[in-house]
Amino acid sequence: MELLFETAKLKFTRIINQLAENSVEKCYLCGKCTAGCPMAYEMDIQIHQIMRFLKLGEEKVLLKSRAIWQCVGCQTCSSRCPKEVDPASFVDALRVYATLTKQKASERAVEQFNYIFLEIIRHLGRIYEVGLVGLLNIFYMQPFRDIALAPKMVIGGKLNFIPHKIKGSKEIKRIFLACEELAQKDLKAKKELIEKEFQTTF
Amino acid sequence: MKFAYYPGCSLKGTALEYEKSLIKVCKDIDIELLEIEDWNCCGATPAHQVNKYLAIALPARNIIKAEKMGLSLVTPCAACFSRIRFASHYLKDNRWREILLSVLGEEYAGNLESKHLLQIFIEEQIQQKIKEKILKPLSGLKVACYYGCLLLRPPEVASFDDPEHPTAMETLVHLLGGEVVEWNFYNECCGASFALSNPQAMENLVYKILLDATFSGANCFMVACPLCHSNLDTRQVQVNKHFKKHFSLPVFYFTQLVGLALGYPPKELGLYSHLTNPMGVLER
Repeated sequence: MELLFETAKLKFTRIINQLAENSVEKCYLCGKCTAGCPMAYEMDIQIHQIMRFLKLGEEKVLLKSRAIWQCVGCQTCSSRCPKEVDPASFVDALRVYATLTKQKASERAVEQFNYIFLEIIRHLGRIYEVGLVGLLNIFYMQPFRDIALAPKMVIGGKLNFIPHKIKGSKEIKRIFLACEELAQKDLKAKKELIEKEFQTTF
Repeated sequence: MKFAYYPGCSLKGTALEYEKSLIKVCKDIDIELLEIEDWNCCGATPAHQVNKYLAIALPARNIIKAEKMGLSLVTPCAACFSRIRFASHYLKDNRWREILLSVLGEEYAGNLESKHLLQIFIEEQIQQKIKEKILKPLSGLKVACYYGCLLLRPPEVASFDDPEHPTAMETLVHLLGGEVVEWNFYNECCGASFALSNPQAMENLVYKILLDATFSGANCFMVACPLCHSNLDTRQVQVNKHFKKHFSLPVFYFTQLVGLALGYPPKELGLYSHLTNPMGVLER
């Protein structure tokens, strides 16, 4: 892996900083985040390494890593960080950036889960658990996954087969559209501003 | 005490016994819950992984509805609690309130108080009421209090309890006459958001939790989150199969344990809906 320092890479650091509403510069790489991370055993790069790569502006390494999609969002790193850097918010910012710039996630299953989950909410306003599991099994091409649990859950009355559509579902659709537009606009504006800043500095 | 009640999607499906038990128990100890009309999903984990605006706007719709009711918001789900707290945390900022106005077309004053149901149960006034009404103390139960992640973290957002040394559940178990077990994994993550998208990872995390609780001498769990429950209870069978173990630790919602102590029969608290049979432990 080539780790050449380029001014252009700083633009990436800057944009993720702004998306996370925090500054990665505060991080002194103590590793306390990784020490408490429940997913550390499975990640290809550790959370403190994510912070280091962010400082270096290594866009490709970060967006191709499996780690950013393996973060479970438990906030352990953020609550233990001695510098209040909030590493979890940076992982979220990386995922948001990857989504907005339409990059393929290295963990397809997580990406598909997010997509289906949000589409159900977009149309119904609430989650429809049976539909979610059913659709996921089709997407994952494992139609009978978890089917062994179903009989007991049906007996316990835990499975609600009828989806509930809320009255304000049109409002929810509007919220989705507005938020998607806002996010795109916001990223574009941030990029332009950073570009301008760089031209005046260098 | 009156609250704007936000159940969250799970309580209408896989966690229906949680709602069943909390409605019974709350009525008994004078907590009045008025369900927010036509509430929507808070967006859970997928929303904040994909779009920050969405992660704030979705819970904000419910927050505004609760504010209009003039009541504090209370939710029994730790994940919803976290998303609602995050949204109201951001909405203290004028900039985010303006963004919200443009998305929802509705104003939010920014003063809504939001709590997890467990916080209400450890208020002194409620503790007193529970104490007066206990009919069957929970003797024989060795409880591993499991907080999970989102109830406690990050502390500046959740402001629930000490994130590394919480005592809310322990207080409640002591009050109900149960025995609290000292163990290590009380605030470790169960991998709830990966239950469907990365089940191997989730099973590893759940396995560690089950192993430590068993080794510490617990004979049941107490939880305050439908996602913790579905992972520890529903997935216990799969974990047993995968790791060739014989865990049999029933998982109770705190409202169910309060209900048992108040003398409700197990059926009325939805205890037969659990996949890990709790009756063996209760008969001891």
